Amino acid sequence: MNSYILRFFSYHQPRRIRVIENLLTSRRTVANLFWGQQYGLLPWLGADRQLQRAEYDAIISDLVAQHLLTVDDHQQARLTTAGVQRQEEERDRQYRPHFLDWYWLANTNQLAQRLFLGMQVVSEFAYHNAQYAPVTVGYGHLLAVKQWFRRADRRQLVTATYRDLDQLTRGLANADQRLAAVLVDGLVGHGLPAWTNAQLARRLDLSTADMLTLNHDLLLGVAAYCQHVPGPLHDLLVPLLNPGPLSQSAARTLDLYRQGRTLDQIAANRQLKLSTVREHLLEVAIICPDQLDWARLLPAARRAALAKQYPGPDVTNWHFQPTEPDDGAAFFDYRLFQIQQGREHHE
Amino acid sequence: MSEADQLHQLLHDRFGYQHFRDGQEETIESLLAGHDTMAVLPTGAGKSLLYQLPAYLLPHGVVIVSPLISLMQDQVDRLRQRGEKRVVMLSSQLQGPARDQVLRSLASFRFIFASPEILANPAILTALSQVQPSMLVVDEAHCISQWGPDFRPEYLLLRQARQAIGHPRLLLLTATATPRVRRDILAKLGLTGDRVHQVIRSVNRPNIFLAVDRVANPAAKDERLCQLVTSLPGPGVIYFASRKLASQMAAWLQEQTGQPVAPYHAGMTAVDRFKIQQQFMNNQVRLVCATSAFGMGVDKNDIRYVIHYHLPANLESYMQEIGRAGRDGKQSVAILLYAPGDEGLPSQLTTISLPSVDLLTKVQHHQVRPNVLGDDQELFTFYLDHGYQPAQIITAFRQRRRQLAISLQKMLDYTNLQTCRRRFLLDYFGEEGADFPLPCCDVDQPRWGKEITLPAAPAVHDEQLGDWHQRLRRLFNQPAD
Repeated sequence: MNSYILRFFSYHQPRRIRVIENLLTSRRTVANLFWGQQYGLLPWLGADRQLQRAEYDAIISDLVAQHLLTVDDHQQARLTTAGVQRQEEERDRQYRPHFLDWYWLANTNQLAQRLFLGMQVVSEFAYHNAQYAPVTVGYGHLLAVKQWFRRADRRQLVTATYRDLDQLTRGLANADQRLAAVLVDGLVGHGLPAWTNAQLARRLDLSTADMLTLNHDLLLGVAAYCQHVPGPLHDLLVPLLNPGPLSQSAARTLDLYRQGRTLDQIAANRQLKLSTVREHLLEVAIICPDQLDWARLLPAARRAALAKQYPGPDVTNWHFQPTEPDDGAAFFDYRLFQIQQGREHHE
Repeated sequence: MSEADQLHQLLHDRFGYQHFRDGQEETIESLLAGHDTMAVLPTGAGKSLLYQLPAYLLPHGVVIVSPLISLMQDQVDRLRQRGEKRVVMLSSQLQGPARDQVLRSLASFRFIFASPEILANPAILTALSQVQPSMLVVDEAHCISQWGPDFRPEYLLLRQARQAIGHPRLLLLTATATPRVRRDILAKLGLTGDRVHQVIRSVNRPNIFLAVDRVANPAAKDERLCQLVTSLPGPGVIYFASRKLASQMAAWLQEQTGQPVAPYHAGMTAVDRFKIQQQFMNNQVRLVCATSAFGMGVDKNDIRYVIHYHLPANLESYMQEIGRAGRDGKQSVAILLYAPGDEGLPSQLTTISLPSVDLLTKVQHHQVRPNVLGDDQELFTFYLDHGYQPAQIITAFRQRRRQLAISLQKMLDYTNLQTCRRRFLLDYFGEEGADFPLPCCDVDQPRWGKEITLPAAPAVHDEQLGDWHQRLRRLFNQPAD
């Protein structure tokens, strides 16, 4: 697992170890999203939701002990020269994801559970068997799959699901044959025991780290397919897909903002704290900057004042300078400016 | 139709069996007559039938309390496999809208499995009391007796929980309980021996040959393990004390022996555990490297051997775990590997640093925060929150610690025996007079490796990987192109 974590660090840019952990486990605070974007790692949001704090810390300590990484007093880590070398050696044989741009589309753990159960139900149905132990998933999935099965057109279901899955798997195989193998060999079906990812990794000669990435990537690929192609898979999985990259609440705040409401009005209307409304807009600024009217959000005069106060081009080196006690507006403006400048600098 | 005929009919029609096994009919009749009942039957005697069959004759749902989620999940899976849909599991894993929906429709379930901690939740108890359950089943009832640092303290609340849900008839199930433990279980539930019908059968499993292999050091242990795995016909289970070692040794043994080996422990995802269990049932995997999370409900009849790589903490656990071998009644073997110093591991796992009575009193009076109690704060605060006094807690913990040390010593004595191992086990479980055929263990038959004949292993079912098109067609029963 060390190589999995090593790939997220850089030689030139010190990176906060907690931010990387939080990105992988999908803790969507504005600070995590902001730094995730600065590090170019936003697409890895939620890539390893099972990651445990103790396990992550042990890996970091191990990388430091091997002189591949250094961690400073602010809990920021950088690759050493040896670390860069190792990262480069691994880069060539590492699995390269294809669908990470869809990172926001679904929680891949949840998606996998529903997919497994749904496909098992159809497989057993294809063999006219009603007595079997369903794969162990949360009760919510059990109810959802039951409803999906009840609503489906039974005469078509088996053939339609087979065709749907066949089309999806062909698409995945075009990207990488291993995606097809992991999907199909991992499915539980009638009289057909399935392989665990650990077993498949051994057979396909993939490291644990690569299997983790491949599996997440595979499920994002499944999500992307379902979003676009109507059919039984779409019906089964669409309730688990997010309509857009923003959290639902941030999206609602954005709607109101685009209708011309002020931040105070939005807070009153939605019965939220002003600080929450600001966080929503920062989330929009990070994830979908084009949706915002920047001139309105950060007028030219304010921008000019901030430019004087924070002159350096590298926004990751800035430190917020509180001038007077305020209600958070100064930090909001600072962060917006930082996001905007970061983008311009990047472009 | 007489009641006995009706029971046999149900046994045949619903469960597909011709006859009751020893102890089953007596227990079921006692329950149907409304008696609180304790059944102490050996592993593999068919304990789940004891509540499953009456559940089809009683007017309301049955609540089953089990100490481990994995154990409940096994039971739930097996009921569903039999086509029973009215089954639900209440645990901390069930949350949000799904939980609300379950609680609203609780009366529609025939089998309601509940974790002990969920029965401490007032909302759940209220919902259950409205169901007016016909029976409360306590699985692994010996857990009630094990209060202290190493077990689910929530089992102590079962007496109140039973009261709260309308005092349904009680079924206490366990495979291994010494007479002392049996008395303690009843006392903790506010019952006495004369008011509870007790069905007790011998813990002895005569078809399981008992052996201990003493080796010089850990390296010799690995070598011996490898030899055993190569020479014994499977399927087999090897128990380890740690998840990490179970995984590592599974990979190592597969590499060394070329046999299909898989790990199984609570650190794996539920879906992966399901898959491994399926592969094992289907003889795709011949050997499972497991922790104690494996197999309380694993219904594989032809497990030929159980090896313990580490010393279990007590003879009760050991009996339970080896009991997974030879459920088909055919010759099987249980081997305990022992290297000097092995006893250190279970004693480490059960050591807990005890706070002073003074400190505990301060926590009780909110003078200091509970986190001064360290890693075990939840355990101590649980007892405080439920009205136990600091001095009482410390005394009980000390007693329990002594008890654990005694249990471990008994386990060690077992490895050191110069006399019959089975006799020793039966004496321990209060069956001094029990008879059994010889030879039965490596003390009577030191050259057992050459002399014991185990049934041949079923062929390993090698599922070919590679062509996803073909597998997809098989999954959905589609003709070839």
